[in-house]
Amino acid sequence: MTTLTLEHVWKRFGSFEALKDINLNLPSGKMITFLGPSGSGKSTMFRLVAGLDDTTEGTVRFDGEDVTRLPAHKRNVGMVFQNYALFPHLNVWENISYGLKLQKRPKAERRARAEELLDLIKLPHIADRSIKQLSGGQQQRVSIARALAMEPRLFLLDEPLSALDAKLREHMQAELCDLQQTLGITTIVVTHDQREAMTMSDVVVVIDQGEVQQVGSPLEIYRKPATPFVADFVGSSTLLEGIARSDGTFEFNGQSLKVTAPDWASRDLTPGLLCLRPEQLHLAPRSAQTPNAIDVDVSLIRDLGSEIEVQARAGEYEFLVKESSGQPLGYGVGDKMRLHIPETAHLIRA
Amino acid sequence: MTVQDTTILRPIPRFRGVDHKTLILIPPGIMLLVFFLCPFLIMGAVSFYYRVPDGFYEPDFVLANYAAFFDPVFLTALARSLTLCAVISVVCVSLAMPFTYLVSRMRRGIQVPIVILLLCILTLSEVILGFSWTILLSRTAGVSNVLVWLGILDRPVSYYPSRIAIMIAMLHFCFPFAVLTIYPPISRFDRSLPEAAATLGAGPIRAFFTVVIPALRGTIISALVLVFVFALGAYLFPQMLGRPADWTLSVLITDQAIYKSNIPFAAAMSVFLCLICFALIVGVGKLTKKSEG
Ligand SMILES: Nc1ncnc2c1ncn2[C@@H]1O[C@H](COP(=O)(O)OP(=O)(O)OP(=O)(O)O)[C@@H](O)[C@H]1O
Ligand SMILES: [Mg+2]
Repeated sequence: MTTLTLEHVWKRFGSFEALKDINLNLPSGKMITFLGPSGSGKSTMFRLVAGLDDTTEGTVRFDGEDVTRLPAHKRNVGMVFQNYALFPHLNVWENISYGLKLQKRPKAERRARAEELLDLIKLPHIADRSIKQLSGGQQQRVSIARALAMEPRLFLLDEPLSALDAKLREHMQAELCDLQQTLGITTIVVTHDQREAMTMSDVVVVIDQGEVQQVGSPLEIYRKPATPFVADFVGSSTLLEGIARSDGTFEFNGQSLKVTAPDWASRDLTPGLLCLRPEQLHLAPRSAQTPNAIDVDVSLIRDLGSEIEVQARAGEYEFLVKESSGQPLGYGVGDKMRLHIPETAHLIRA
Repeated sequence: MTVQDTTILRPIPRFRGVDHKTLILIPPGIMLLVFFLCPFLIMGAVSFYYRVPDGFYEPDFVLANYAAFFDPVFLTALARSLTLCAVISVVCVSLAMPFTYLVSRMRRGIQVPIVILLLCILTLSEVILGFSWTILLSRTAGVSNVLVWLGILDRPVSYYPSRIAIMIAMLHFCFPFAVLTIYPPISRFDRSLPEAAATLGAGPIRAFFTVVIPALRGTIISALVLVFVFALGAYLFPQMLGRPADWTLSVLITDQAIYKSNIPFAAAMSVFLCLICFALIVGVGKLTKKSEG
C-alpha cells in the first residue's frame, strides 16, 4: 500500500511541454485511472512514475519518500505494458519468476510463486507453455502475473484492455477490479475510454494537453465536472454560456434560470457554463408554461429500443434528451417545445 | 532476360500442374546452376584428377588428394584455421552486439553518420585494409612509435607477422558486416522488453544480458556464422600479416594452386572448405529454427 505524490512535475521533450506543473496526491490501496484523449500525456506521466523516464522538474514521492532520481529497477513498481512485453525466450513460469531469478531465489520457490500467481489470474496448468502458444488475453494475464510477482509498491497498467475485443474487455475490467480488491494494491490504469474509467476506478485523474483537469471519484467527475473539457470528454453534455450570479440565477440569452449557486460565484457577473446531461432534461409542450425552461425545436428523434434519444436545438445550442420508450412521446420532429432545466444542473466556471 | 519477361509480365497459365510460384524460381535457379553449381562440380571433378609430378594434371579418379588430408601438417592447418576464425567471429560479434545496441538507442542524427562510416569501411578492399595494417603495425611507421613517444616502450617494434596482427585486420574487415547484419533486428527490437526487465529489478547491464541477448539469439547466431565463413574465406590477411605457420586453409589453397601448381589438391581442399561452410550454415539454421519454434 503506497501513496503516490507528484509535486510540480514538468516533462519537456525539447521545447514541447508534455506535462505542465502536475500536482497529484493519490490515495493508497485504490484503483486509480488516468483518463485523457490521445496525446494528452498519460503515458508520459506513467513512465515518470515507473522511473522509465526522468522528470524535467518536480518531485515524485512514494509514501512521502522522494524517488525522483531512483532508477526504474530500484522502484519496485509492477508494470503491464500495452503490448504485454513478455520475454519471448522464456516460457510462462520463467517469465513470471524473472524478477525472483534476478534475486537468485531457489528454483522451487520461484516455481511455487509462479504457480500461485497463475492460480490468481485463473490460468493454472499453463506454466510450461511457450509465450507464442498463448492467446492475446492469456498473454495479458501472464503479464499481469509477472508484474505482481515481486509484490510491487504500485501496480501500473498502460491501456491494458485496448487490444482486447469488447466482450473480453468487460470481463477483464471486472477481473482486474477483483484482483485489485483482493490484493489491496495501489493500482493505476491508463485509458482513453471514459466508460472504462467510470466503471473501474475509485479515483479518476482527467488529463488534457499535459495538465490535470480534475481528480475525483467517477461520480464527481460526471456530476460536477471542473472544466469544460471534463464535461465534454466524460459523457455527453451541452454547455450553456452565460453569467452566474451569487443569488443562484444564471443569465442565459436574456433569460434568468434558477440554479444552485456554486461557491465560486461570490461576485456578481461571473461568466459561467451550465452543464446539462441528457438524463437531467425533459421536454414539455410550450403551452404548459414550464418554469425554468428554454424554448427549443425538436430536430431529430431516434428510437433505440431501450430508450428514445431526442435532439433539440435552441439557436446554436444542441441538446440531447433521453426519454423512456415505454409510452408515446406526444411530439415529433419540428415541434416547438420547452426544455426544462433542473435546478441541480452543475455550473462550471468559464 | 526472356525467361524473366514471360514469368513476370504476363499472366501465367498453369502448365501441367506447375504454378507460377515454381516458375519464378527458374531464373535464380539458372543463375545458381551456371555460376555456382557448374564451377563447383568442375572443381569437384578436378579434385579426383591425377596430379602429374612436376607437371599439370590429367583426368582420372584417384583419392590421393583427399588422402593427403590425413597428413598431420594439413590437420594442424585445418584446426588452426577453424580456431582462428571461431575466435575472430566470437570477438567480432561480442563487440558488435553492444556497439549496435547502443547506436540503435541514439538519436537518428547520430545513428546515420555512424552507419555511413561503417559503409565507408566496406568500400575498402581487403588489399587496402591489409596494407594499411602492415603500415600501422610496422616498426618504422607504426603505432609502436606512438607508444615510444608516450614513454611506454623503449624503442619501436614491429607487431607483424603475428597471429594477433591477422586477427586485428580481420576484425576490422568483418566488424561492419557483423554490425550491418544485426542492425535491422536490433533497431526493430521491442524497447519495452528491457523496460519490463527494469521494472522487475534488472539494471541496464543485466537487462542487456538476460533479455536483449537471449531474445536476439537467432540474430547473434547468424552473425557468428556470417563472420566465421567470411574469415574462413579471407586469404590476404593471413598471407600479408602472418607467418607461413599462421596460414589458414584459404592461403594454403592459394599456395597449392598458384605456387605449387597442385590444382587437384587445391580443388580437394576447396571442396572440403565448401562442405564445412555448407554443413555449418545448414546445421545452425536447423538449430535456430528448433530453438525458436
Ligand atoms: N520521447 C518523446 N519525444 C518527443 N515527444 C514525445 C515523446 N514521448 C511523448 N511525446 C509527446 O508527448 C505527448 C504526450 O504523449 P503520451 O504518449 O504521454 O500521450 P498519451 O496520453 O499516452 O496518448 P495515447 O493515448 O495515444 O497513448 C504527445 O504529444 C507526444 O507526441
Ligand atoms: Mg499512451
